[in-house]
Amino acid sequence: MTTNPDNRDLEINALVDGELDAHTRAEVEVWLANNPRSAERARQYRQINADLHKAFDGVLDEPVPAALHPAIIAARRTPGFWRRPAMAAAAALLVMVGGLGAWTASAILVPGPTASDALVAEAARAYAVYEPELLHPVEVTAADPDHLNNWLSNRTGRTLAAPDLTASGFRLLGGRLLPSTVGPAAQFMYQDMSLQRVTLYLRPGNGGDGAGELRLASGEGWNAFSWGYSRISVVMVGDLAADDLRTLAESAYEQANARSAGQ
Amino acid sequence: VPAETDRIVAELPRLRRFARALCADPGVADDLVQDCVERALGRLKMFRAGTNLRAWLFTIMRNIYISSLRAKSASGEGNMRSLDAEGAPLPVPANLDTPEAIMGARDIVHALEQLPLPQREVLVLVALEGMSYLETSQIIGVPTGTVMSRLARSREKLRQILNANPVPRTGLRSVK
Repeated sequence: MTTNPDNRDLEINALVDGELDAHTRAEVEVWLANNPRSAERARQYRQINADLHKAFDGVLDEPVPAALHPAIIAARRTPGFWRRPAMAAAAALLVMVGGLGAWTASAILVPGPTASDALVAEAARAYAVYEPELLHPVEVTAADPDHLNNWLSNRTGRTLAAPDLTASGFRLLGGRLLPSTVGPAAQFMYQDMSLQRVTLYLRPGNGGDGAGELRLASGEGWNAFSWGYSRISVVMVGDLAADDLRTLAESAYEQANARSAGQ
Repeated sequence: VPAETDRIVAELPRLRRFARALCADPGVADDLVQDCVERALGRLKMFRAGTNLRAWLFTIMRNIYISSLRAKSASGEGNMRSLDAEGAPLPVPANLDTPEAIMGARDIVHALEQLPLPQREVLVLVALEGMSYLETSQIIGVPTGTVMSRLARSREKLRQILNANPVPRTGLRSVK
């Protein structure tokens, strides 16, 4: 599914979830009676609910392990949450992200609509098409990063390198070549442990002077940060909170600037 | 013993079901519940009597789960999905003539794991845990409109995954 849900989709869901008032429910039910394909979809949605209960309701009847009992936990008193390695790592990550904020404070963040709207819309469309893709989110995987970078650099005529976002929990899946209004564009895609995806869209053309402005834009189901240089424009898109996406965009921005300074 | 502690005990089965649907592995799920109860006990003073205890506990547990995922992701630990050709599931066109057969054969748990967390958590909260759109929006901290659009995307994606039920690579083939 590559399109955003329309009102009818929302109503079918709300019907299944019992969130409609009596009047709207009657209206939707009449509509479904005349639209068998949608009625079948509603039936499958109800079946999904039933299957979820079938799969997980057994837990409700299991005896609860003593270790979960508040009295036992209170008696132990040691904060076990921080004892686990993963939680200690979470604490370390918080410290690290705090540090990152300090390094990138020089980037000026300007919210609001800008002249780059068309570029961002292009990047957001590409995101909306490939983000939900289960089997083929990318055209070339990140298995061989040099090959990926060289290929996209050759086709776009710009020296491109996918930034490393693993410090923020996002792993490079790969990339693809896309048509744009000004010739071939590149899209890198990243994914985190929760299967959240963000894309980095790079398009040739004058995108500004690279003076360090990250511009925020938002649409239905996505936020985007864009910036540009004299020969290339860059947009990061994702369904993340603006602050989380900004951390990723700043990291990509810093890495790009560090690379061009070193050349 | 404060009354809230007894009420937390009453919520344990629901917390365990929510945890199981979030992380599938029963051991990991119970660790999550344990961490949640521990943090809730430490913050009982912040809980306002008369408000929704279940939603409060769900919020705490969901936030702990997300922190732990981010930590694992940053340390490179965990089960990253392979995108190699060999690792990818085989797509098979849906046989829409026999939805019942598809529905019976599918694995809802496996399909659920293929949803991105923002879509998965919304579906689990509404469809399994029976939370209202408003409660769900409060638990995950987004507007109800976002809950609704994520839920619609989530259900439709899950339906499509289930209808594209992969055929086993070995075993019986159907013959016309």
